[in-house]
Amino acid sequence: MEKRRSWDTYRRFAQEAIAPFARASDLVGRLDPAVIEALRVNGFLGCITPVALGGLAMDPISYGQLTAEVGRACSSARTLMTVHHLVSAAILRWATSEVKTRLVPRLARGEEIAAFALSEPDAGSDAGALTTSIRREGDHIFLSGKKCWVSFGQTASIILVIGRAAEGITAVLVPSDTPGLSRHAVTSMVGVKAGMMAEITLDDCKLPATAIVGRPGFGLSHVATTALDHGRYSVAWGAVGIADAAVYASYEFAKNRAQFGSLLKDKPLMRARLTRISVAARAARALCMEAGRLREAGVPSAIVETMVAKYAASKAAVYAANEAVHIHGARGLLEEQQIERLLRDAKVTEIIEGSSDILELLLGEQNLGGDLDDHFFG
Amino acid sequence: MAFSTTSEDKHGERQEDHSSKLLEIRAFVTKSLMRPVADDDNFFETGFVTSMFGMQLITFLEQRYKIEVLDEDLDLVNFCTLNKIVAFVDRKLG
Repeated sequence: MEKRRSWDTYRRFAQEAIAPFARASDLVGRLDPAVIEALRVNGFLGCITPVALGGLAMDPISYGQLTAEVGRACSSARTLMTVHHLVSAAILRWATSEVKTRLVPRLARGEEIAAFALSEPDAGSDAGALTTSIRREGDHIFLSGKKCWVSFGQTASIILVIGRAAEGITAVLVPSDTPGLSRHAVTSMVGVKAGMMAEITLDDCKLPATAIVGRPGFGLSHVATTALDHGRYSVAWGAVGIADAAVYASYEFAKNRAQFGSLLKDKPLMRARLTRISVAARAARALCMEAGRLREAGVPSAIVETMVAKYAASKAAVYAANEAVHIHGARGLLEEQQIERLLRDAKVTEIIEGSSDILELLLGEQNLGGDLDDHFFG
Repeated sequence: MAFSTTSEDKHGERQEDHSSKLLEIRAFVTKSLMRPVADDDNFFETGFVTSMFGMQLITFLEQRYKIEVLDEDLDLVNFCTLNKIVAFVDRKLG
């Protein structure tokens, strides 16, 4: 097991370095810098980066386990890992050697923080309807448009922007200090409140044409798809973390809380609730493990299995968190108990990186048009 | 054991190799698009290509033929028909 650190190691890291800051970060709507520093010094901003480029080259399952433990402690911290690594994944897969050599080590060391700008006010699930323009003039390109729902857009130093060039949808790496780029903090999110979300406005931002990632016209089909595929995998494990947190908190509460002369854990209805949420959390983890196994094998079906995992895990997180609030009674509604935060954060996982509705459409098409044996047996 | 030494034999080997690749790639594309495609059909113009197809195709080609698809290879002309995909794989294999 040299290749994979134990689950306990990741749990210890998350509980010691991240969990103590989760509540305050949520309250103020800003991820505590100590959390970002902890991720950075432990190399957890370069999890998927090859060792030769300064990363940890973690296998998919180890990366998933770490993501789950971070998500269990704080979904906002997990979101930072998600967006930072999905941009890293896209760069590693599609950028030129020059860009990889220059940028990837800095991302791995946390000297650059990345964000992903795809959605627009009128282009969410329908990403293909985006209107951010990319105009080419000689050796330069000019970007104009508005992006929304950019997690960590408030503080990212490099943003992967998906826009529309003459050749089609195209991906561009935009330093956040590019003249013409402005950011507006979104501070009223109900969940992942410390996700430091922003709206990004690009006003004729001038960049060298070498800022394009991949080839023009392949920004959605390949670059963004690579990023979103990684993002879904990360969100799926993050949802497992939320479900785990809900289960553990509920079991602990039920073992210590007495009503009508007996502990909650001894009451049949409570046992049924605890069983349901623990099985849901286990099932979600099993699907994430399967997705991780297939990603490690590098097979095409890993993309679909990752969708399955994300779909199931996000629903399990919402279910478990909702039950946890109920199990805790009025305390579940009290901010100090940090149970209600699980529900607020869980709901986010059903919407981002491909909403549950979109995944139902895509997976339904796959299963209806293909062989169901593939669905059940891979 | 008889070894192929003549150009006719080598041509035959290449034809068989081309045919087997075409067969495998046709099977993958047909399964992914959930409909049959002819060898020179531009499936990107059929409207049946899903958002996942591009990456799934590349993952399949890389895994099956042990090639690496680089950013400079991203050109629809390399991937839009079965015959073009086979030709692309052959070029990558040298």
